[in-house]
Amino acid sequence: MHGLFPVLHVFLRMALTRPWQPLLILMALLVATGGLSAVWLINEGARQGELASGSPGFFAAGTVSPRSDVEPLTKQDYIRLRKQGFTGLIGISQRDITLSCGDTGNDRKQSKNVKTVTLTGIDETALMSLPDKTVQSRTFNSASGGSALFEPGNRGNTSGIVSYAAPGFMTGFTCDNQMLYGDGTAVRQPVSVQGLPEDMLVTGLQNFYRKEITPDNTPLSALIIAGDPDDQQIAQLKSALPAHLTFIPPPVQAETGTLSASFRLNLQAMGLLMAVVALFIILNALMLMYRARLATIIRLRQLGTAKQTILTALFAELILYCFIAAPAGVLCGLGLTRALTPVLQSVFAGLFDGVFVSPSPFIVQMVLLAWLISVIALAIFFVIPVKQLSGALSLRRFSESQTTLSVTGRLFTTVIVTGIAAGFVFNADSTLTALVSTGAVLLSGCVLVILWLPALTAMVCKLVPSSMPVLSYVAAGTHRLSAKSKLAVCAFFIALTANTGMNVMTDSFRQATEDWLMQRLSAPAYFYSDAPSPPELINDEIQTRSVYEGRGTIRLNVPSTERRLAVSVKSFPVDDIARKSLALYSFAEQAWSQFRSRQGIFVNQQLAFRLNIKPGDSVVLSDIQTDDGTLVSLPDKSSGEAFLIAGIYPDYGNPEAQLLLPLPVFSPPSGYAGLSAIYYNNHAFSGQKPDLSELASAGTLYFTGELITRSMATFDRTFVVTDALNVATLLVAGLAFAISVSVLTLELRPELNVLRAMGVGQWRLRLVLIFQYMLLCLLAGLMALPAGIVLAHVFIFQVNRYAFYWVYPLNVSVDVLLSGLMLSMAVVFIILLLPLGKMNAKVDLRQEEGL
Amino acid sequence: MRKPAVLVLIISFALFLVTLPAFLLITGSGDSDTDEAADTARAGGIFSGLNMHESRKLPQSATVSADRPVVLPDDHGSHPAFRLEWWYLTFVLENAQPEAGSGPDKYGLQFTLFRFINDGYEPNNWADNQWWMGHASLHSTVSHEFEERFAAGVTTAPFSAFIDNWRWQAEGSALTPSELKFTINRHMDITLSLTTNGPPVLHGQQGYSTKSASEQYRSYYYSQPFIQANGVINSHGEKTEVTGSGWFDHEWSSQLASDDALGWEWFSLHLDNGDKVMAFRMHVNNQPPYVTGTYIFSDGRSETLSKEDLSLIPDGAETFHGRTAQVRWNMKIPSKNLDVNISPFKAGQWNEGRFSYYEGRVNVEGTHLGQGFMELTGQNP
Repeated sequence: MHGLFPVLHVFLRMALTRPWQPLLILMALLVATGGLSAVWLINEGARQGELASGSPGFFAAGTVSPRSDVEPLTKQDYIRLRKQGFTGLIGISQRDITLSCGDTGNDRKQSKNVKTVTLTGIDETALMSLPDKTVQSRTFNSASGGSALFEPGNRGNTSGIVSYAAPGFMTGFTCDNQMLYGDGTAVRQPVSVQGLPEDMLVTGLQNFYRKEITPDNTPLSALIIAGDPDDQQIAQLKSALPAHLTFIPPPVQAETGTLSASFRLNLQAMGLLMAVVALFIILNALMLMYRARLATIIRLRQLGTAKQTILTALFAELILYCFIAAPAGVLCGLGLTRALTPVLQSVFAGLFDGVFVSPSPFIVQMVLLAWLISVIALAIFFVIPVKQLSGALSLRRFSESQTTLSVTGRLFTTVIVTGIAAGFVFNADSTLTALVSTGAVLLSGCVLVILWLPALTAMVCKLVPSSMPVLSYVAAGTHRLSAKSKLAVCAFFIALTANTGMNVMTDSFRQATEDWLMQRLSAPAYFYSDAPSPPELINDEIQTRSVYEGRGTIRLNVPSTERRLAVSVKSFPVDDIARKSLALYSFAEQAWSQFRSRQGIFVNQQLAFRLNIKPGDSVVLSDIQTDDGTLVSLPDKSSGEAFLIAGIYPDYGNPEAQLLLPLPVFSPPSGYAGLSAIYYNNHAFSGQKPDLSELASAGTLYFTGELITRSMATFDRTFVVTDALNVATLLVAGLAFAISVSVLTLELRPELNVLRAMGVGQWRLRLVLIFQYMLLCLLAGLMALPAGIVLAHVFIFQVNRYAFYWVYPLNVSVDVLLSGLMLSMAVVFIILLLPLGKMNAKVDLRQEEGL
Repeated sequence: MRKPAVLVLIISFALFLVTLPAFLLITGSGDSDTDEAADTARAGGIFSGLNMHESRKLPQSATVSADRPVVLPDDHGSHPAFRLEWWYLTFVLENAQPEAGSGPDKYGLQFTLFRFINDGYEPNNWADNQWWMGHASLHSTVSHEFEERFAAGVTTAPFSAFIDNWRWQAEGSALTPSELKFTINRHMDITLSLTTNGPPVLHGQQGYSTKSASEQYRSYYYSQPFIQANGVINSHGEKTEVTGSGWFDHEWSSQLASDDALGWEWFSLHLDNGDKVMAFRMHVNNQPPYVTGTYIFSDGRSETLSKEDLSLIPDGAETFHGRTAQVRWNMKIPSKNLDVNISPFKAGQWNEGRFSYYEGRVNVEGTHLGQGFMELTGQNP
C-alpha cells in the first residue's frame, strides 16, 4: 500500500477545498448515529421501566393488602400467613421521604439536590428465602444483569444504609458525600436495580423502621407475592386471608408486554427510517464527491498510483469521517433523549400506565457501536460509487446514455411493484409484518419515483410552450436534474412520505379521539374521588352515576379454546343517555336490548382484536372480582355461562382489554372506580348551572369541556416523540436534497456563463435555478402525498391494529397534506438560498469531468 | 471557498473536544455502580458468610466456659448472647415397605436451623440482631432436594424450632416425642414422628467441647443420637412411608465465629451394634488439625476421644464444580477395636446454598458396619 498517506492527504486537501460533499456525509453520519443512539437509549429507558421490561417488578404476581386504613396489615398477620406456608409473601412498607445531600457547604448551596422519593422497606430475609434464584431475580434484577439480592452484609452501618434504586435514580441528583433523609439517616449511593420506578428507593425493613418509624405508626403496606403462583395457590391464599386483608391481582401482564414491544418496534421503525434516509444521503454524497474528484483521481492514476491505493485512501477518508461524526452523533442522540425524557415519562405514565426510566448510557460502547455500524454501512454502500468510479477510470468516460424502460415496461414494473407492496400490506398479521409492510410501501414508492419522475418532468417540459424560453429552460433543467439526483430525491421522498403518513394518521387519530370523547363524555361534569360522593352532597339539582370496576378473565366460547385473557370490567348505565353516549365501532342487531337484558356485553377494540372476536360471537366470563375482594354476582348468569358480544366500542389510549356490564349488576355497589358522572336535573329548563362547590370539596371535579381539553393536551404530548424524530428526518432529507441539487449546479456553470454572456441577469439566473429545484421538489412532493396517504392507511389499519389493538377512521385533510408539503418545500427553499447565493461565476472547465 | 473549509475543520475539532471528556466522565460513573454491586454481592464461606462485616472485630458476646455446663432441657432453647448456634437433625432413612424383590430405598435427610448475630443493622423497630437460617436437604439414590430459608425462632416449653411452616414441635420440654414437618421446594412434604430410645449425650466436659488444642476455640455441644424416626415423604403427591435413625446436635459458641476457624470434617455414625460415634477434625488457621470425638455405647454411656484415641485419615476425594473435597475416610478407634472406612452413600452430596458445604449420608464398612452422616466445611469447592 505504498503511497497511501500522500493520496489520503490529497483527498483530505480536496475535502477542504470542496467541503459540501464531505459536510453532507458528516451530517448524514451524524444524523444516522444520533438517531441510532436516541432510539437505543429510548428503548433502553423503556426496557428498564416496568413497561418495557415486561415485568411489573414488585407486583408481578399480585399483593395482599389491607382493605382499609382502619385495620392495617400487621406483622402478626404476616407471620401467621408465612407460618401457614405462604412463604412467597414478602412484606413491604412505604413512605415518602426527602433525600438531600450530606452536610457539606457545597452541597447545601445546591438547593436542587433535594429529591422527594418513596422509600420502600422490604423484608430481606423473606426475599433471601425465595426457593430459587430464578424467582429471586424475577423479583429483583440488578441493572448489570445479575441478581442484586439482599445479603446479610448489605446493611446499614456508619457509612449509611444500603439501598437499591432504578438505574436512572441518581440522574440530576449528584452528591459529593452520602445522602441523608429527613431523620438524618445516611444512605449510601444506591445499587442499580432494574424494574423499579424511578422515584423509589428500596432498603431492608430493618433500615426502614428506625428511630421514630415503627410498625405501629407506619404499618406494612402490602405483602407482595413472589414467584408465579397458580390458580389453586391463589385460591388457598384467599381463603387463608383474615377478613381485613384482601388479595389484589397483579397488573395485567399481556397488555403491557405487548404495548412495550409495540412501542419499541415503532421506535425501531422510526430509527430504521432515519437510517435509510441517511444512507441515501451518504450514497448520493459519495457519488457527487467522486464525480467532482474524478479528474484528480485520473491524474493520480497517470502518475502511477495503484487503483487499490486510491480506493483504500478513499475508504480511509470515510473512516475518518466516521471517527468525527459517530461520537458527535451519539452525543446528539443522548441530548435528544435527555430532552425528551420528561415527555416520555409523562407519556408512559399517562398513556401506557407504565414507567420510563431515564437511561444511563454507556457512552464508550455506544460510540464504538455507532462507529462500527457506520463503517460497515459505508463499506457496503462504498461499493456502488466505487464500481462506477472504477469503470470511469477504465473507460475514461462514463457513458451519458442511460438505459430507460419503455412506457409499457414502466407500467408493467409499476403493477408488479404495487402488487408486491399490496401483498405485504394485506397479509400483515402481526406488528412486525405490519411494520415490514410500511417498509414495502416506502421502497415501492421509491421504485415508482425512479420510474416515473423523469417521465413526469419530461411531460412538464412538453407542456411548457416554447414561446417561454426561460420557463422552458427551467423545465428542461428540472428534467435533467431528475435523472441525476435520483438518490437524493428518493431520500426526500421517503422522508416526506413518512411525514405525510404520520401527519395523516395523527390527524385522523386526533379527530377520532375528539369525536369519541365528545360522544362518550355525555355528562356535564365528572367527579373523581377515592369513595363515592357522599349522599348529603347530592342536592336536588344533580344526580350522580358512579362507575364501578372489577377484574376477571374472558375466553371465546369454543370448546377447543382454553386461552383466557385478563380483562377489566366496568359498569355502564342502561338508560337512554348512556345508550346515546356509547360510540360503537361495530355492533350486532338488538345490541342495546341484549346488553340491558344481560344477554350481551360490550367489549373494547383492545379485547376484540386480541381474541379476534366480532359482534354476535359468544364468550365465557370468569368470576368478576372488585379490588376490595367482592365477587360481582351476575343475577341471570352463573359463572362460566356464555355472553354474546353485543358490540365493540373504541377505547383509545387504554392498553387494557375491557368490557362493560350493566350498572345494576354492581348492586349492592362495590368496586368503586373513583369516578362519578354528574348530571343536572332540570338544567335544560332553568338554564342555571347547579352549585357544585360543596361536591368539589370532597374530591376533584372536572367539567366536561375542561376534561376534553386536558385529554387532548395529553394526546398531543403523546406524539411529541415521533413528531420530533419525524420532523428531524424531514429536515435532514430536505437539507440533503437541497445541497445535492445545488452541488449539481457546478456542472451547469459553463452554460450559465453563456447565459450570463447573453445578458441574462445574475438574480434572474438565480431565480431560474431556484425554480428548477423547487419544481423538482414539488414533483417529488406530489408523488409523496398519495404514498403518504397509503402509508397512513397502513399505520392505522395494520400497525395500530396489531401494536395497540385499536383502529379509527382514516381522515384525509387537504390542510394536513398541503401543510406538510409546504413545510418541506420551505425547508428546501431556505437551504437553497445559501449555496446559490454564493455561487462562484468562475469555472475551471478542466476540473469538471462526468462520472 | 476557504470559509466553508475552515468551518468544517472547526466543527470537527469542536465535536472531538466536546465528545471526548463527556464520554470519559460518564463511563467513570458507570464503573462505580458496578463495583458497588459487586461489593454487596460478595459472600464468604459457611461461617464467615454469616458474619460479614468489615473489620472482624466482633462485639462483646457471651463466651463458652467449663464452669457453666450444659443443663437440659433448659439448654434446648436459644442462646442469643452467643454469636453462633445451630440445631442439627440428620436422618438415615429407608422406605418402610420396600417393593418385593428389591432392597429398601435409602434416604439421607437433613433439617437444620442456624442462628447468628448480625451486627450490621443499627437498632431498629422491626427486628433484633438475631438472624436465622434453615437448611432442608433430602437425598435419595437418584435425586437431591435442597432449600434454604431465613428468619425463624426457637422456643422452649414445649420445645419448638421453626422457620415459617418448617416446624419441629415437641409435646413437652424434652426433644421427643415430637413431630418434624417441613417442605422442600414446595413439592416435597416431609412429616416424621420422632421418639428416642436413649439419653442425650453431653460432649467434652458436660457439654463444654473444645475445638482446638489451646481451647481458644470451643463450644457448648450435646447430641441426641438415639432418635427413631417414622413418617411419610410426599414427593409430587407420591407418598413413601419411611423409617430410620436420627441424630440431633445442638451447639452454640461465640469463639467459632472467627475467620481463623476454617472449618471441619464431622462424622456421626450409627453402628450396627447399636453404638454411636461422633468425631471431627477441626481446622484452625496456622494450627494442625484438632481431632476429637465421643464414643457412645448403646446404653447411653459415653467416652470422650482424644487425638490419641482416634485417627481420621482421608482416603479419597470427589470433585465438585472443579474443586476437590475429601469424601472417603478411614476412622480408627483402637480402644474399641474399630477400624472402618467411611464412604458417601452417593456422589454429589453438596448443599448449594448461600453458604455452601458438603452434607451427606455415608456408609460404614470394616470392623463395624453402619450408616451415618458426614459434614465437610472449609473444603468448599
